[in-house]
Amino acid sequence: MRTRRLLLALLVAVGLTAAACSDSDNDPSVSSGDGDATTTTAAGEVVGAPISFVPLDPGAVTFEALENGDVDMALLFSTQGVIAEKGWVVLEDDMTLQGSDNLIPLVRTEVADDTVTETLNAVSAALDTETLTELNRRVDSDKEDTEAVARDFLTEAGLLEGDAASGGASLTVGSANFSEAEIVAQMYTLALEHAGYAVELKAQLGSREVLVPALESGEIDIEPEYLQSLLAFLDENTESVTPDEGVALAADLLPDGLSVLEPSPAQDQNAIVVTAETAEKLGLTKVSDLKQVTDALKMAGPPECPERPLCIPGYEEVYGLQFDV
Amino acid sequence: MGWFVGAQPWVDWTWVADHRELILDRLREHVELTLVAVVIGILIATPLVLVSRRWRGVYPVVLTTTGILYTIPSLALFTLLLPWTGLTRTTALVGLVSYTLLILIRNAVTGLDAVPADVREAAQGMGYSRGRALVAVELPLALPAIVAGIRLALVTTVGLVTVAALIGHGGLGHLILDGLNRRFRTPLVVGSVLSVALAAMADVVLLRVQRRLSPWKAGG
Amino acid sequence: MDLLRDVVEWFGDRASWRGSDGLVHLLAQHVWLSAAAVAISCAIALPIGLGLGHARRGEVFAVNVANIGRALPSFAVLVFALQLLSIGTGPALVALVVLAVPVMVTNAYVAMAGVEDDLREAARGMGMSGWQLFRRVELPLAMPLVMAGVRTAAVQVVATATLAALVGYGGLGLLILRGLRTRDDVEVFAAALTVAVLALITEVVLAGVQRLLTPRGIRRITEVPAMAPVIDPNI
Repeated sequence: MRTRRLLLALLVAVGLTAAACSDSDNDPSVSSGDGDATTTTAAGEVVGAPISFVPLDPGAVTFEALENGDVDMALLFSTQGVIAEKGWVVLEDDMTLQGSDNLIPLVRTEVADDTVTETLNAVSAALDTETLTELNRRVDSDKEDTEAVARDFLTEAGLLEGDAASGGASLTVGSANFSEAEIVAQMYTLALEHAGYAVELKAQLGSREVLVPALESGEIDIEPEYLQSLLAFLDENTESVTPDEGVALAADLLPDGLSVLEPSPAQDQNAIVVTAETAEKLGLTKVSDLKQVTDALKMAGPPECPERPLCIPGYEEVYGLQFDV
Repeated sequence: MGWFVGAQPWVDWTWVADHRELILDRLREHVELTLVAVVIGILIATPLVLVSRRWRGVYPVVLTTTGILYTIPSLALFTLLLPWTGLTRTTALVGLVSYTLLILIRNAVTGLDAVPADVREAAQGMGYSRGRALVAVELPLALPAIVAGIRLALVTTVGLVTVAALIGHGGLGHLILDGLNRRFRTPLVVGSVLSVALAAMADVVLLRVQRRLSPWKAGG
Repeated sequence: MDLLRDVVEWFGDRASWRGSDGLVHLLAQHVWLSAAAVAISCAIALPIGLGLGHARRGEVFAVNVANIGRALPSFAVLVFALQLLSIGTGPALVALVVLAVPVMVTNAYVAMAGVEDDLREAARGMGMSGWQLFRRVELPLAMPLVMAGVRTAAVQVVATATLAALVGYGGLGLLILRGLRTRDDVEVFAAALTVAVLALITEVVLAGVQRLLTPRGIRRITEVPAMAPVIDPNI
């Protein structure tokens, strides 16, 4: 009897200790390090406490986390319509970490015959950043279907005029796991179908790490890409380039069998976004302002952010920010 | 909290009506994946069960292997299969089938083992061959336990299919995933309700079969 | 195999263990979430199951609640809970508690209801009150099966807690999710292995607890009825 009681007491004690030692407020994203202390970087600057990173899939879950104050800032894409809608503040990329992330089709060279190239380039040319933003808003906030929204755009741009052709080859279009990629992939699909191809759309496949190998293996033939980010993925030491430079560089860096077509004027880059209240409270207008903040902040972003040159590693290197990853 | 995009109704019936085809497609995909996985599971489990009964040393090995497959989180298992079979239905099926094996094998062997020794001896005494005894005597008595295993396998597979949405083949799970990504209640509710209904239906139907096969038991 | 070698290397690399996405932190989160979920579930399920079993009431409900519980895909419950709660711990806890409670209730009920009537009558005959009957006769006899339910549920919880990463809670599921997105199989394998080991440890520890809580006199191997099967996969 006594041994049993003793053991039970021990278990309870261990349990309580474990609970006490776990993260404060059951908050998974607060690092167990110092809250308000500042640290000194190698360059001798005094910076704020490390920023906690909360991995969340891009999209409405992240918007909500920012809205609710579960996080102080979020790594979003500059074309997400909700930013303007909510009056959020995009911190200016004053040290130009993000280059020209123009939308650009990445294709298997083998399938890029003249018609495919023409069709996709026409779609790219017709897009601009504002339109992209509005389309995103319709899908993420108004809950419209990506296909409907893509079709509307193509119709208005006059890209679906005339009768649809037929008899073309089979193609597969893939997209990454966020709304904008799916919208653009839908555009490619609809436009190519109109041009006579039999197109299968595989949407929401994952991130670049899934898609590029899928292209190489032939599982998909075409996917919408972002020039600067693609280059950074292929070679993490790439510098910011203009679209033309980027296309030339891509030809070098891409593995055999893959090529990019023409870049679109529409751009979408990573953007650190805060609510208007936070911007005012902490005096933030540009990314380098974050260095002066001593409060411990929380940032939401896609799970792969710690591994992307244009995401956390980029912000650490170029801006000297510290993340607790 | 929860009111981000303006108060959303839990179900927007217009959306449901407009997306009838999508919903039915996903439902069909879900049913297909579940049935195919369980059937394949039964096909693989059956020889393993027979072997386990014939050579008792094999049983612990079988149990341990399928048991280990079991504790691997489903998302991890699906992900680890990707390099081999890509983002295809096969990947989803391999994962799903793996999870059914432990349930099916364990229940079948337990059911067959529960056949009273005297019954088995009587069959032997009557000159039944091993095979005939199995089919004619042991199997009918073990059937309720076997069916209980199939029932459990079906219900749990329905749930696992939803997770497979993260690798592209998840039936109703895609509606749930859309609800997650876009904070969109309608597909979430539709997907969830339908998956629960599917699992419940499978459970009830098989429970009835199970009861029919064991009228002498009050339940289960 | 290359993968296995890489996984061993991954575990050997100190960087894998440190930081807010290192193994130490994520493991702690995972264990905390699982333990909290099991504790809360026990607090909810055991009084219900034991109470109903003792009173011999609500059989239909208690016996079938495990079945109903099994039909609720954890992924769906998780996302549903996110509609009502903020990201992080809330939805994760809800989903895991919903997962664990039904099994515990059914097992607890069956365990109590399985105490033979003559035993209960004899105890009553000896002048025991309802509470004494419960505490000194029924509970010890029911303990093995009750604990079997807790054990089953706990192992399921540990494995399913990986889904919590989908709603912004960390845990080992974060490594799996990230590995899925970035095709880092080493991370996924390492995380899956850790979860499996954790599940095993949970099973062993709780089996030990069960043995300690069962009075020596009635320690016996318990047959778990087919209707309350021991194992469910981690959904």
